Amino acid sequence: MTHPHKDTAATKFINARINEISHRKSQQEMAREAGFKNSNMITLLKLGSTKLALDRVPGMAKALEVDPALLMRVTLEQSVGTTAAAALIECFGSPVTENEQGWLDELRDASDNSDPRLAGRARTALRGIFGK
Amino acid sequence: MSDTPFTTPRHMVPNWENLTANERGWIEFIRIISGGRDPRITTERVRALRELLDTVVSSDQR
Repeated sequence: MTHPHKDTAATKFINARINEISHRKSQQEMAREAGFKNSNMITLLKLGSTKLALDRVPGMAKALEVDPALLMRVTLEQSVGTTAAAALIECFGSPVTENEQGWLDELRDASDNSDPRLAGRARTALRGIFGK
Repeated sequence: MSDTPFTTPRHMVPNWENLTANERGWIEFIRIISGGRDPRITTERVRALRELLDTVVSSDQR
């Protein structure tokens, strides 16, 4: 079996999420929640043997318990390629996740809607808040 | 990747064009430094962000 997509961001992301929730949800359950008739699809996606179809992103996001906008971003690149994904995002905008919308609300509220610039010192502090 | 779970799945929000250039900068930078893990909102992080913004806004006003 070949694994042409094993090094894509989407495959790595799916793998990481499956590993994180596998102690309380089987791959069979994930496949059912994602709308796959064949539970082997989860294995194929994990291995990078097949791509996640874009129309499956909402169902798969539900199965993996992640924000669909986040999964869509990584899947788009796997599905259409880096250049086409960048063009799509340029035309339609980058999907914003629910968490990101929450951070934007905080940013606006805490800055009294002053639209603050992201200067060097703020970047350093942000690394401390959100970095690994 | 412990930041990604348990967000409520919802439809895509195509609101990128409604953000200011500065707001896009903040969100893109958070995506990069968090390794795309979609950090969830915690009281600790909110407090730290507010402290940071107090400093940023007051220095911008000088």
